[in-house]
Amino acid sequence: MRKLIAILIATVMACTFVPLVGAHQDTIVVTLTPSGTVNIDVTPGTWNGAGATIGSTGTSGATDFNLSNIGTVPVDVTIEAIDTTAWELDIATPAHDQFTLAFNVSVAGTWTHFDETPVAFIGDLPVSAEAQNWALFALEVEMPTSTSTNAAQETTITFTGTAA
Amino acid sequence: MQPKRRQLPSQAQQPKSSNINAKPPLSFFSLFLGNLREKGEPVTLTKQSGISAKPNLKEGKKMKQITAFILAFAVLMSFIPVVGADNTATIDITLNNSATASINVTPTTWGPTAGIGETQETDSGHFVLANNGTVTVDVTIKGSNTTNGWYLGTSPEHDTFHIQYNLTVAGSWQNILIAEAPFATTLSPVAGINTCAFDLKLEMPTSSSNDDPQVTQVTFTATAN
Repeated sequence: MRKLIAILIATVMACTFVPLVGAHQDTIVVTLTPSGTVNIDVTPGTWNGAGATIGSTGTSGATDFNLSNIGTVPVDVTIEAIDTTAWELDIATPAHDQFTLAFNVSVAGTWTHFDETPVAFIGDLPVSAEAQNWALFALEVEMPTSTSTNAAQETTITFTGTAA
Repeated sequence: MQPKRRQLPSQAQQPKSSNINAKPPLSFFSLFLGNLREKGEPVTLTKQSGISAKPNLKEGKKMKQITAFILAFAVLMSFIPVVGADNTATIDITLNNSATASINVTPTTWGPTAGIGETQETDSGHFVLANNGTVTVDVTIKGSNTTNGWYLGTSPEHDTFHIQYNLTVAGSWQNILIAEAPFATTLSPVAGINTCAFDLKLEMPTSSSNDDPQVTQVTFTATAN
């Protein structure tokens, strides 16, 4: 019994002391190379607003634009745009020096207005072509009802992809 | 009955240094400190060394925790490009607005009844020029000689008449000349602020070589601002 108790005590002490005995530390540096990348592409990269004039609406073809997921992970995509130098981008209605933009993703079939605040464009866009890693869509611009300038105006639509 | 008061040894009251190489006070420390001795680290132990040794235990744990944090951070940093990946694509839109510059003035005729050497003028903003186009415009004004031999000048003379305009907002008479001159600038197409009222003043020639009816025309020209 005494031996057993002595063995047990010795074991407990050994367990207790292990961290002390091994107090000297070493490290393993683990470098993890990302295996996934987010990358999207949209074509074409330019548009002339369908030649719309003041007070009119310009609409592209339903499938004129194509946004593709060319990364390695499914992505959520948002869309936003900016004011021109003389015209304000409005979310709702055109007015003097004020225009609107909208998109229509083919699979959705409805027009969605957008402005400087990012809004969801498409969610969980797959990676593989077999799973349709692209989205065809149309754009629409409602020109100002009147303008303070006759100069051509430029705006940029930005799509942002993040890992879904 | 008085409770027994335990007498502490005098050494316990005063910290006492001792060299670990001399004699480990306890087997616990001899195991631990023996490891240190192998590394040749000088160790000073006091009677309270049982207490002072504990921070070494904690320090070891802290080191492990720090190492764990560093590893976790390294792992996190490595994954950030994936989790927080942000890639953009753009479409540049050029809008050629093809706006229309369009103005009209009302009324379009005026028939003053002034005789030779007399002056006549309208009042209260009798004429109104409106921007009914789709773009802000600058407007110029010019006059013309008459159809039957009178000249437009800057003061009335023989066969020379003088005509002026007065924008209501300006309140001063300005000559109308053969040459085009600014009339109004940045006239908005927005309803409510797209008009400007004005009056005309005619000074007839001081004398005339004929008594035929005379017709002159005032022309306004708008260009996109």
